[in-house]
Amino acid sequence: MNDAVLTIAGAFKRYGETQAVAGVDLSLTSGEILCLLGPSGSGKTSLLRLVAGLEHLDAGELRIGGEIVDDARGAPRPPERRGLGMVFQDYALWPHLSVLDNVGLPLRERGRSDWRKAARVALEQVGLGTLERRHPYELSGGQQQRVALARAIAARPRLLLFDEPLSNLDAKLRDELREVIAHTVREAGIAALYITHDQSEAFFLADRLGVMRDGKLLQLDQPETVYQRPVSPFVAHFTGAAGPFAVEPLENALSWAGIVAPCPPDAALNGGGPAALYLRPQWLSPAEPGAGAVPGVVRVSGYAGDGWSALVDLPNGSIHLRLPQRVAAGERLHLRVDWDKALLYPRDHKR
Amino acid sequence: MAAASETLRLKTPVSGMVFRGLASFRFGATWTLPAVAVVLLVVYPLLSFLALAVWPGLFGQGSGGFSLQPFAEALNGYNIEALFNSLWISLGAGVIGTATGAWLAWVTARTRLPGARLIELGIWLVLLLPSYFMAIGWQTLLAPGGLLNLPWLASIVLGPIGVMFVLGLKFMPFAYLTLVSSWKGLPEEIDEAGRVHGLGGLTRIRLALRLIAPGLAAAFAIVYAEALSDFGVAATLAAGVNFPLATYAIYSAISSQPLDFPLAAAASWLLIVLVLPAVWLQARINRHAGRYSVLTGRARPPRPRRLRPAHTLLHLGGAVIFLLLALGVPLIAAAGLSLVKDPNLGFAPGNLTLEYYARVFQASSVFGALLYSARMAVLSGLAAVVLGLALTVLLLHRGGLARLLDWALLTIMALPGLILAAGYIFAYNQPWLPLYGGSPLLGMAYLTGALPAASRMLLGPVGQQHRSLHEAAQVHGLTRWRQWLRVRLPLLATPLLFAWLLTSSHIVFELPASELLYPPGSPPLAVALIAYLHGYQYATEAALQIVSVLIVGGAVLLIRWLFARLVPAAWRRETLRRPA
Repeated sequence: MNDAVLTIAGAFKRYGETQAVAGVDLSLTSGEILCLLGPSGSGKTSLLRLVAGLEHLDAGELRIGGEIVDDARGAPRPPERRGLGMVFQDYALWPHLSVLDNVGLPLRERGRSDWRKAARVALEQVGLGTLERRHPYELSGGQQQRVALARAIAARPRLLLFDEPLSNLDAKLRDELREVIAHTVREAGIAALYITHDQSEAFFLADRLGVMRDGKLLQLDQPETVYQRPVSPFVAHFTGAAGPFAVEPLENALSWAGIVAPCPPDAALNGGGPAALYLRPQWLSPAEPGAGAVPGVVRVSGYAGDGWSALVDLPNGSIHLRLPQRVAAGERLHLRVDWDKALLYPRDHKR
Repeated sequence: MAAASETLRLKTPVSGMVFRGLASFRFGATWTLPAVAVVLLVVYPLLSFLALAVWPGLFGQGSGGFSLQPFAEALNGYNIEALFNSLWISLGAGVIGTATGAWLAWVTARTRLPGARLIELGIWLVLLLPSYFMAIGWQTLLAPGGLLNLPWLASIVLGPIGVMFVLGLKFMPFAYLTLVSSWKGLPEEIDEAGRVHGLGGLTRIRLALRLIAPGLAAAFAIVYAEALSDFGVAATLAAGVNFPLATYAIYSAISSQPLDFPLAAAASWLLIVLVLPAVWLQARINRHAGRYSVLTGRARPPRPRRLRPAHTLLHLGGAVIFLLLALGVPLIAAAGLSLVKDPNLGFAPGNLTLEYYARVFQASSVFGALLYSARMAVLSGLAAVVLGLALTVLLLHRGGLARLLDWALLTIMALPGLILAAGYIFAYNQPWLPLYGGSPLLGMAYLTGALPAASRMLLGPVGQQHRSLHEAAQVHGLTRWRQWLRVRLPLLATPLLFAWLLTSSHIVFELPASELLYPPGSPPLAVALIAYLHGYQYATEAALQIVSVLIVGGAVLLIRWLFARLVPAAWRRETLRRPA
């Protein structure tokens, strides 16, 4: 049984000297939201454009709904015949059409005589039922992106593509709209491939989360797995872990600038050479001075609603922490580390 | 590291080559039709004519094979002087036309200057007026015994400086129309960002000018090339004061005995050399057009700004002076001539008459000429816009073919219509293509002459359409044809209409191709006008000028009015409102 909506196998794409996508494999089942996270230039946009049919594979195979749409050999199926919906970074609303026409045009194109009704349903879903007669230029950025979302879901495509849809919006709108997207897409039960460089967006939306760099998919797992067990220093860092802190492995222990800490049990260190330690802020908590407690100095701090946010200098590095009580710049404190969770990598780890 | 090594090992499978083969076949099919059109309209007639420069006996005329004698003649005293004159006059005209066009385009597109619509109307009229109208106007006004007796002004205007100004003002509308699109495509946020960040007025103007730099360069290239290829001023104002220009030198070679087509061909080659820098400039801009893509679905269209009273006065004063120089003179001169019995007596009550206008309408052959030209203009203009749009889309592709096409278009623009028409005589008076003497061939010549301007006018708007707008259409299931129908063409409605009005109203008065190619018995308007002129019926000629200008201008206004009434407001970006 294979209910994969999208399958990408061995995908390669290059532009001139740049290898944009270098051997990516993934598949997406119906109703699933898969987020691809990566810095700019990591190849996530190229991969999305390949799926959309706006670019063509150099090698590999791409199936949508089980059918091959691009195998780098025959003519790839054009975008308009892939049955997709897409939300663009710059919204890409057609400026000469009203909101209703923007949402309705793809439906009319598919010969739907009830396009008005379906478009209105989609607009209701994104909370814009009253604005159907306006034009894009009469809407705010958040409203425009809601129209773009309505346009993408209106025809009930088998696959939705999101190209960093929230990156042009302010923080509050981003939070609001990512909830609208999560709710709308899950309610519609459509599979979605969502690319972003914002980790909180990706963790919030994803059923599965992939991290990309240099055209490669470094890790593809459930968000909590990516968070707890990142496969490489890059993934750890890009998903918000602080580090690297230089440490030396000892027999069943670690030496961190003279402090001896119990070594994490499943540390994948080969040969006991120098190692890099990564920590997430919530794995550290204030403690009394004593064996295993790590000393730190507050560099800067400020009130953050449910506590104090502080940048704390640790041996060989620094970390942003949320502390329960007020701390002043220059204040010394000791921290207890949840060593069971700490992330350790060989210091010469390439990725 | 790993990525790089895997890349090196990556090979294109054999079946991948098949796909690439298919893709290049489709690519070929896309290019075939426009390529055939370009070959038939330009390459074949032009090359067969230009080949005469080194092969004077090509069509059985003259004797012998390869020879450089025509070039030796083209580089002698009179011809080389004419060429040099054309160069510096056209450079000056380019500067005058681009500067005036940029300023007036900004005034009408981005400010709420009172009377902006009148200024726009005036610019359209300048465009409608063939260059020979303007030149004849200045001549009849200032020549000894003319309407104005101002010898000091005559000594300036009836000379090289006057020729440069007349050409600059005459071809300014090309720059204006290019730059109106640029100004409208420049989002207001750009200027707002400058203000917010404390940039002074001059810096913001410089910033905006840099952003529309592609438009400015395109505008300069158009004015420069049009000035180089102009024949109307060269044959009237310049020839009248014995100031030879290249086009007139070429015309002399093929119109006065002994006819010397090889010399004309060689002189044409030299004229092409003069236009190469403009071609180079234009090609560079096209290659980088994507970089300047600023108009997206998200950007708000600019809102015209209110000017301070002092600035309003300054801009209004400047506009009035421009309109007086460019329009007032030729129209006052023509109107004056056509309304008085004796030019020397001025506008005395007893000297006024409408008799010349009556003559225009009474002679059916005269009015027939206007109708014939109008019909030809509407059809050839339409064909030029359709083909021009296809060529523009191809021009925006990357690659050598696009660059070649771009060079071809600018070269046509630089070539005098007379030369192209001469090429048509040669190429289409052959047993294998006997089209000479019919309206279709004249229509082809009109279409070809209008093609570069039409395609250049569309280049900015087509290039500035953000690609995500049609990618969105593609991804959401619109076929290529429907993408054009539903998304791209509506957004291009205004520039397409402008291009059509421009080319058609230009063709109505077209002189050189009409003169050489008109079918016996159906003289176009320009031929009829020149016939009056040569028959010393100046007043009747002036009356026909005025009637034609009024009818063509009225038609343009009517079509624009209908467009504004019938086409949805959202298709016309200039009328878009800002959010409340």
